[in-house]
Amino acid sequence: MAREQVSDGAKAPFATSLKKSVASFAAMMPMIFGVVGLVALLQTLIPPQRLVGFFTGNAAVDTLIGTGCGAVAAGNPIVSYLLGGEMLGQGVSLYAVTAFILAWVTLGFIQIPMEVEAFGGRFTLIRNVLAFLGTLAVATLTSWTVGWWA
Amino acid sequence: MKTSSPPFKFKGLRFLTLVAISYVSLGLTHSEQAMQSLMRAGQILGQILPIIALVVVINALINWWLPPNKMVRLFKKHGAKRGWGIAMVAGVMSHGPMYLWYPMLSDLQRGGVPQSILVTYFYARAVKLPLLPLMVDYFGVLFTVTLEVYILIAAWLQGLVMQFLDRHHRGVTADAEDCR
Repeated sequence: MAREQVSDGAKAPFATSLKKSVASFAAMMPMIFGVVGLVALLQTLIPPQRLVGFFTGNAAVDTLIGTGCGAVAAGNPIVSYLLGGEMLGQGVSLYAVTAFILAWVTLGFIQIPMEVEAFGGRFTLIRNVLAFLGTLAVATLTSWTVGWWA
Repeated sequence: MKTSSPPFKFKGLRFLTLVAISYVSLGLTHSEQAMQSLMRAGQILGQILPIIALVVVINALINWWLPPNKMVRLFKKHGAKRGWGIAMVAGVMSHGPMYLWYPMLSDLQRGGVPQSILVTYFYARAVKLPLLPLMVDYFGVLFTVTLEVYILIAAWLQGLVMQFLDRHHRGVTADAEDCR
């Protein structure tokens, strides 16, 4: 791909881009510290293992609960796989487990203030609603497909 | 098209203050849990700071090599199909917490990258390439392949819905301005 000059005639030097990038992230640091602080607080007050106790046995309700728990939980996705495996072992439905591990990475209620700050309220609302509906649909379709093939 | 950078201003100071107040309140009633939370926050920061540094450099490289105005031209030149493709590949390849990518994506949005592309990118991030072996180990190949395929389809569909909503919103705004 041929490099293209910026519209004002000359390509900005890399140092300028780096400065801009550092400034962008520096401006976001209070928000990042806030999100990290909140994640740590929730992980301490609501240990992920406690989330397993919330499921009812009804596939539709559990899919919703799985999505909700995944959206509230935060952290490395590996943790969601470990918990998902444990939940399956304890009899929680595949619908709920799929919704849980998917919501973990696609929805983040804790990050909403930061998302609003970065992209605006309208975008944040629509994106989260779409991601919520998408997660319910993908979890249901995946469980159906796997059940049909297996 | 020129993109002027907004003046430097810290974002989220009020949010950080609220979180700090929560810690102080918890510290007054349950000091042990407050300390555990603080230590956990320190651990998380230790984990993400190297990723932040990497993302800052990646962001600078992308802005240097492919500035937002050029990216917008590329999206326009290659049409929606390539735009979805680029968003999906970028989403699948990106790593680290979602919020680390907000500043860069916010710059792209200001530069004119359509919101529908960003929605697709965000959902495609659910495919975690480095974690696929772990997912296969826990849930099996059939589950993993099925889930990843549906995620990509859902990412594309969400982008389409956002595109429709944006066009509708622009139409309504233009109509309202015409009525003035």
